Amino acid sequence: MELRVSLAPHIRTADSTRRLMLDVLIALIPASLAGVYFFGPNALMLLVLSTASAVLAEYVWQKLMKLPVRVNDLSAAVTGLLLGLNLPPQAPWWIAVAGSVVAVILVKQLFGGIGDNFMNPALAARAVLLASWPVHMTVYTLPTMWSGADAVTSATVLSGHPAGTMDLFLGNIPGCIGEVSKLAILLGLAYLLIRKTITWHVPVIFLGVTALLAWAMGAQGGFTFDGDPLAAILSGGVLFGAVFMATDYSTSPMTAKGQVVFAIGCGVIVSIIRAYGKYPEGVTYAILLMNIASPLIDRFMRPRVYGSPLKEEKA
Amino acid sequence: MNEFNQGAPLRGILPENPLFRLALGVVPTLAVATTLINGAAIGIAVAFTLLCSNIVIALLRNVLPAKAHVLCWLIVICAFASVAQMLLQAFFHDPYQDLGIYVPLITLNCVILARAQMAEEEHGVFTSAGRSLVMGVLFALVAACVGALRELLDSGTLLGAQVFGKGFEPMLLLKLAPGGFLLTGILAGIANYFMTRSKKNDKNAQKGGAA
Repeated sequence: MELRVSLAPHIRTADSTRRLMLDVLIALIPASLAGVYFFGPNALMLLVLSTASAVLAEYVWQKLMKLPVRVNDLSAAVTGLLLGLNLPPQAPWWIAVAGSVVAVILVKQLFGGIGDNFMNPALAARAVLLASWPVHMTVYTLPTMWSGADAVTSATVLSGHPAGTMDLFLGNIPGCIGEVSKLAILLGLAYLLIRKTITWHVPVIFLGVTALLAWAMGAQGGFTFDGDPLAAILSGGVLFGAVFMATDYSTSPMTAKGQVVFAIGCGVIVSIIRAYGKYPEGVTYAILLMNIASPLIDRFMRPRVYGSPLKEEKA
Repeated sequence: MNEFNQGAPLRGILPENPLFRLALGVVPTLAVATTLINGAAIGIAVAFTLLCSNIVIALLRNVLPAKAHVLCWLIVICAFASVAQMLLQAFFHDPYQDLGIYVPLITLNCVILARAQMAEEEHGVFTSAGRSLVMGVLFALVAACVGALRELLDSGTLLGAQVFGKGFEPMLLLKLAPGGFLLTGILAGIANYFMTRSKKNDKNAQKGGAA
């Protein structure tokens, strides 16, 4: 029998890690399908391979370390799929495997496994891949739509590839597998909100701040669209990051107030990197930096203990 | 500090391994141990400075003024670091150019300062010399290992010779300091994992014995 000691209120819910992770996987289906539709067989291979190798890496690690094997909670599958969706569509197969191993073993398991990692595993792995094999990680191609023709290398929208708002929205643009189709990501977001897996705070505020800053900085924003706020949130990985990456439970603050600060920080850093940084896009680094700041935010945003005096009363 | 003065003379191997257990002297390992040659060169330079300065400090331990002893250590260490620098410059010019500022910076290497502190408290020149020799050799070994691994993974070569076939894609991250940091951390983790495991076994064997 398992005895649990916990603080009141003792409310039972049907939520389990497995259920939450399953919801995230379901929410990722539209983006995955869209990516495979636009970029063809190599994208499909990358998604399958990264998911499978993440699960396998977690299984092997837990077996080797004689830990309880928790592959069934699906968290490794989510990490692997998120990583795969963050790869350029023509990346070689071993990039997906290396990234998954880094994500699961280096970023997640070495820090204690699920819930104890301080950075988003998929994003940290992407950062490692970007620093290790920059050439493979920055070659983007125009969508091939399974035509069988050789993929044409192209700049992304943030590096100057022209694109209309509709193309940006549907995903007919060069970019990472999962980030191109905003329609698919929004479908995933709607599902997550309906299932109450995430709250609206982080995505909405993250995107709002990014749009506001793009508009405010205008042509100085270093951004192709001269401060068009809609284009700012429809290009690059900001929508994907805001919906699926910044909402990760273990690496974002616990309170709603803290999450607001977290989301504002993400939006500000993305805008600064886009405007002044060497890289055209900064969503990865923005979310990773705010992941690292999360414990600090939690510390300052601690909710008042019920019954303790208010600040005014203390004075 | 008493803890340091007890136990087997060869504790430097794992319990007092400068990089893995004491986390000292990490900077040169991260910054310049990018190839086997460079790792070995910085390691040997550190070991040389460590041994020589330790012998002198152990000899002088009763005459150094108590209020300024750290300053005196630094002068001694500085002298030997300069000797190491000149030797490298004269006989191993290629690694010397890669190591750059990190050779003079040996003066401020924490391994050496920690050993200087221990030398003042230990009894006798021979104990100090023996222990600093072990510690220095281990530092050199670890630095060379880190350098070799980084060279192997970030350019696919060892001692400049191609190891992997043409299909190998070098992992550029390991050439940078963060990569060295990650690698050193992983090696330290592995070393500590095996050490705590053997310690547990010892404890189980001596159950009921004195603490």
